[in-house]
Amino acid sequence: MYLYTDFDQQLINQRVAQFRDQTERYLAGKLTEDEYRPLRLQNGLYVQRYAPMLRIAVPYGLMNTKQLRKIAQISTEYDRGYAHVSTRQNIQLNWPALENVPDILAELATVQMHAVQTSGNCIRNTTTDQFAGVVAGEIADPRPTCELIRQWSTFHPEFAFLPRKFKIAVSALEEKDRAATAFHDIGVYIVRNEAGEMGYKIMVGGGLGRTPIIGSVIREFLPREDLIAYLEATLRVYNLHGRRDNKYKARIKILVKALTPQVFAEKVEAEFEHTRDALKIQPEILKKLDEEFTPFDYQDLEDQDFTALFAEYPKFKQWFNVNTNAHKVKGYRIVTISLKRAGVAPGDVTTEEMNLIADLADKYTFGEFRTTHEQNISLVDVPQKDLFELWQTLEQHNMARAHIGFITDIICCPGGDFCSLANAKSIPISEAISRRFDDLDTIYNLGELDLNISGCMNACGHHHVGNIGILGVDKKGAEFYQITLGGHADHDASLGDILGPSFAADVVPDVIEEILNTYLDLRLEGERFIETYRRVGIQPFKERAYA
Amino acid sequence: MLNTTLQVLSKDGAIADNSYQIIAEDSIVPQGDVVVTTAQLDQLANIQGKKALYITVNDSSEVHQFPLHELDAIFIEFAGFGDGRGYSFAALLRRKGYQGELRAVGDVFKDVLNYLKRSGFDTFVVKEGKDIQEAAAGLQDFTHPYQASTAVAQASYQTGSV
Repeated sequence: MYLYTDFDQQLINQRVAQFRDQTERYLAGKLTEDEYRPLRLQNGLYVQRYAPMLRIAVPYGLMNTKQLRKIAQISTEYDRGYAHVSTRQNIQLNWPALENVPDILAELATVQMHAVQTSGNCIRNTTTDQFAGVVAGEIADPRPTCELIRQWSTFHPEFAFLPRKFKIAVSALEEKDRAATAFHDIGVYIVRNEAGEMGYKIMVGGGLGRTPIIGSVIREFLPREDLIAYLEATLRVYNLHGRRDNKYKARIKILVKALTPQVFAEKVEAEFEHTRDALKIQPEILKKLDEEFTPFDYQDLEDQDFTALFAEYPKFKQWFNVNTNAHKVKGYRIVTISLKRAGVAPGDVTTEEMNLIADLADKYTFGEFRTTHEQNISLVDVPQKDLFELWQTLEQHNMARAHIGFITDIICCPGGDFCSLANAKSIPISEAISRRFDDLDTIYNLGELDLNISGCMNACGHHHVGNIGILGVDKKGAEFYQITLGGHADHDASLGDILGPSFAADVVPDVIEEILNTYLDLRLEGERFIETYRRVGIQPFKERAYA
Repeated sequence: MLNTTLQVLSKDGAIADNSYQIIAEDSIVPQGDVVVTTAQLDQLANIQGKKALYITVNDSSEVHQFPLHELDAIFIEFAGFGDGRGYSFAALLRRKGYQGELRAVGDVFKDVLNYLKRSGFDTFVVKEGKDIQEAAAGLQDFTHPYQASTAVAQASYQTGSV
């Protein structure tokens, strides 16, 4: 992974000092609430329903065990013994005291972590496939591109006060998009041109929230050395022309839609003509960035034959099939640890679990791991020969839940239990569904299925792109839930269709069950939920859900 | 618009009194240095001292032609510090070849000075009610930036220099 130079470290240390000063001035009455709010948000600090929430940046989901142990320590010293993995691959603390946040940031800086630009109207953490660099088939490792964007976007002086928040994702895999790239303000797709040179296809104006929309391609091929110049041009057009009169119309997607993607692209190209030469990146810098992500020194291992173990331990077989993925290096496997279970919010991980995951990552891998967009943690470099032992340890600690990608691997925002924006609670709905579908055979029979829950229109739980989406709405002061079907976040992205009038909380599990029974009745051999839905449409589901 | 009694902070940390005056309702051009609005540009020739133009978010140089070579200073107003258009205005003006003073006025205080300085601003009118001496320290919040900008021609990730 990218390790800080003295340059990076100085920048982060200075940020800690700056935020300490800001917080002290706020507490001393020298900064008003209105002045302090945007400043604290740009340091990831929200003031929530019951307590502040601190969102810690995990650049493109890549972490090491030293960092996780530090978060674990902070979670006991300053919080309530757990942390939360967010859909932007960041880590959140739900109960820090405001006056302790400068100390927490100082602790984080010792392990090259921070909370810079994890909120506010600025460029947020860049995300990518959690298996970046270890999955076969990538056009190129997306991490050097992500790191370049991280450096360019961190404290960019011109783009600290944009009309609204700004999110960038990078995709490098043609067959699968695990980062929902098409739903970002800018989607950067790594491609090769006819000459075989690496570059980027640029998509702009995608997003979820109130106005869900799939992004539009504004450039088919951008040479690699021009990425920053092009991003700078795009952000400048947005900063100058994005709406500031209505925060619900302020995202770049509204501007792109209003101008049309073609006119927006023309404006960017005109600006790019000016930025292109000055911001071109030298080949030796790109090479240096690539070298930061040189593959580990993998052992020369054979693929394992698990036939005998599978026969003896059916649970291990299930876990292997469901929670592990192919690694591009022979003899290795990618393991995902589920952070979803009934009783706690999806994505929550306790101090003990964090320490255990750090120990396992040190014991079996190179000490690095990933946080995932689906709010889980992946150990990406596990030798196959160690898989059984790793599974046994996870099983012993109730962390081998084999349901990654299935209905109970729910994406869910913190909702009305924590968030002051939410219209409705989301965690109890997730909980009720998890309890209803607690039998693994039932879950497996339902096949691959994304169920996403958001507590309000801001769509932090990405309900629009869940195969089944659940959105909390307020109906005359009561919490109701609107259901959408057919959303999909992969390359063949689609937004969910609204099933009909919303439901009261207590009937949601029944409705979900009816929708799933409809699918089971209608599906053809081997058809996933999304495929059946696309074939038959919403009508049969509607008829039975409201029968 | 401009509070002419407020002091002016320079990017090097120096603090001085403001020398620019505004044209009052009587439309008489004062002696000495004068700042005009875009509606008063026809008065530029009548100014004996230094000449400055005051622009708001409605005065983007993308759509307005300003006599840049005649101006000693351009004051860019930040009506609220959360509206960052002024930063891009500064970038556009510098790109058009404007080399005179860029002054940030309005909702300007310690915590935005570093961004302003790096975006090409030379001077800052710290808003009323804030201690200008305390604010001046904000210019030094960060030693080296990652990005290229008006103030720093080459980014660290471009040159590899740290």
